[in-house]
Amino acid sequence: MITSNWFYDAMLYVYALSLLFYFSDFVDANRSAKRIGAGLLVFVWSLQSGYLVYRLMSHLDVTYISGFEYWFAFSWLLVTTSLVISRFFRIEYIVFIVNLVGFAVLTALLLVNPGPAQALQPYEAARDLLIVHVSLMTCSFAALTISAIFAGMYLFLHRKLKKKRWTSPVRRLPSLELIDLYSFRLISAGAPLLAMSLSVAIVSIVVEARWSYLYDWKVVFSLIALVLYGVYLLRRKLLGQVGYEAAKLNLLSFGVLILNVLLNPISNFH
Amino acid sequence: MHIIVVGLNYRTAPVEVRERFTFSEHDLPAALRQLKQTKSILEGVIVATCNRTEMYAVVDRHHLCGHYIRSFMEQWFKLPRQQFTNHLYMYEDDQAIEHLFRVTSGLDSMVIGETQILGQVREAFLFAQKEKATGTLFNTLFKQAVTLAKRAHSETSIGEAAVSVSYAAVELGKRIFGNFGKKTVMIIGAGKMSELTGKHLAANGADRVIVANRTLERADELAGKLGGAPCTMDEAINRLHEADIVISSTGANGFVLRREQVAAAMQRRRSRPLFMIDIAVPRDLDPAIAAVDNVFLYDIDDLEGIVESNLEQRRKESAKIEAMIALELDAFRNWYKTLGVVPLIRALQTKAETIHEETMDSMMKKLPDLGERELKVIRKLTKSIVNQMMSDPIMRIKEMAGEKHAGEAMDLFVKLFALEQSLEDGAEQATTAAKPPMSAQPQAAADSAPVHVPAGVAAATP
Repeated sequence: MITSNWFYDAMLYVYALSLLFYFSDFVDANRSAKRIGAGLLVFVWSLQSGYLVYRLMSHLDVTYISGFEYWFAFSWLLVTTSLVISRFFRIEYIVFIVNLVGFAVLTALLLVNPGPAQALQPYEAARDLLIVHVSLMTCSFAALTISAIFAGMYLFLHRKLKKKRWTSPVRRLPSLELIDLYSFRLISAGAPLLAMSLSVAIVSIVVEARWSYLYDWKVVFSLIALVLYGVYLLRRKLLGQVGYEAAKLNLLSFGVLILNVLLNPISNFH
Repeated sequence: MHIIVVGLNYRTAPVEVRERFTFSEHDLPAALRQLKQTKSILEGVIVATCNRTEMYAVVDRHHLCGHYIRSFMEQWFKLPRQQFTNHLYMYEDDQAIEHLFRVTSGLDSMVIGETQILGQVREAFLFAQKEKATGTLFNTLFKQAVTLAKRAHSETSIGEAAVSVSYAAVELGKRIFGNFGKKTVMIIGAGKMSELTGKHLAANGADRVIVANRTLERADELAGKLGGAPCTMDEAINRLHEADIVISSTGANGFVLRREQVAAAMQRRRSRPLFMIDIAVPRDLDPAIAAVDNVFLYDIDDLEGIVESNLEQRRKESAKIEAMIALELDAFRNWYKTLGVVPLIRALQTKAETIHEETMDSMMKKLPDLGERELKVIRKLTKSIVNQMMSDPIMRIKEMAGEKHAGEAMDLFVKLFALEQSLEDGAEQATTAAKPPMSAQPQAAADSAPVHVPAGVAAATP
């Protein structure tokens, strides 16, 4: 047993098995393995949903929101989205890559201890706003993560086509135009969610009159990421910028967002 | 009983030979009838395409079947066998079944992995079935072959990649644009190859076609064929930014488009990609164009490289299908082995029913006062006892029929239940029913096929 929580262990093992099947499809276009992987992923999703509901039900009074729950919900959202993609779209590789991220997050959570949650200090006067902030941020982060994966796929395929490398991934990946479109749509959803999440956070800072928090590294980097995503959307709408340049800007914006996550230890209130 | 295939294909016979061994749709019923009436042949299917003519048959003897089929060919095509024997191939039993599976899956085709042959084999089988030329063996075998081929195409990517230069261009375009709706194709030079590629792109949904040529008349002609608009070369350069896909195939000695011209057009396209295909030799498009951002330039060698790579990919995928074929062959063998026990089971059931009926008659004589209801209950219960007693032995012999010593097991089964007499009676009935004239009893001919299976208790498998 990896952890003392057999339910969590089972989830990890099944998730790993599902990824193994997806990996088989990834390297060798093995469709039956992909089907088995998808079946196992549905099972993982059920386990995750059950676990998430259990965790949230255990403190309905919202005395705390743990980092564990935040990231667990993020991983659950990735699995959910990948299942939707797997069911309704035929986009090779994306399910595998999105779930690699989901699995990495779930495994990293072992370090946080999946047992009883470690409480974070909530805003004292704006607990409800905190819930809204965290929920919006989780959804936004999931959308922007998948968008960044699409951007990576775009750069990869663009490079391969430019260098005339006709390999198996080139044959199987969706077209550049489609990848670009998916990436844009996810940012169109993720960026407003990010903006709303940050607005809620700023409102709660204002409500509590903790003005110094506005200069916190987390807040500053979140705003920079939001501005970059705004630039992406504006350049697309006003200048018609698509494709390679847009994908690079997308990855840059996501890089800032990731940096923002890494800044948690030096933040005064996260 | 044996399954054989005799035929010739693009590998064994040149087209001038193949064209003399074709079956027209009109002649096929008569050919099937004649094949079925040929000595030793119990079932038959004729697969005739431009690349192959094959006769599949279930025969009752091993040694002379090839001779009989050659005789059929001699009579039907009115050619002496010396003229075609060297081009023929013949496979028997496992090899014949494997050959059918390979043919149906497209592994034996000129373009490996093509799907047209699947439809052709299916049609040939359905036609033979309609003409009552098939029986239990071919009904099962051909359905299995068609199902296997469908599975092979859906579970592998053998048929997905393009294997011609013009389709490779379309496939490349799809990697960039997904589909060609709302896309503009510019064709420079009205050559055959650009016409073919343009047609493929238009068939795949390209919205607008612009045809540019040195002489406007020729441009107009091709534009008419493709439903596009003609223009001069100078106009084409000015309108280059409108195009999403450029196909160039002129007879010019120098470059028709240079890097600066494309770079200028790309400024106006912002960051939208441009796919350029140069199928001219010498090349029309300056290779330096490839360095312009968001331009994807491919020449004829690049496209041929893609075709070769796709063929290699198909060959790799074919290994997966070979594994599927091996499994299907095992499945068919096992099914075939169980056919041998069918008459045994039937004999046992008949014997049990006879005993049951005799016992009931005897009881009714001894107990004449029994009412209708009592008799019904007793009949039902005793029948149930008989069925339950037979259930396990029947299940076991079915299992054992697929094992190594199936023949010995079936012999023992016959001895234990004393079925020799019942089997002899059954064999006599089968002999009288065998090979009725097709015209006289077509249905019986088709239905009689399974009766041939157990020539002996330890009937050999193919």
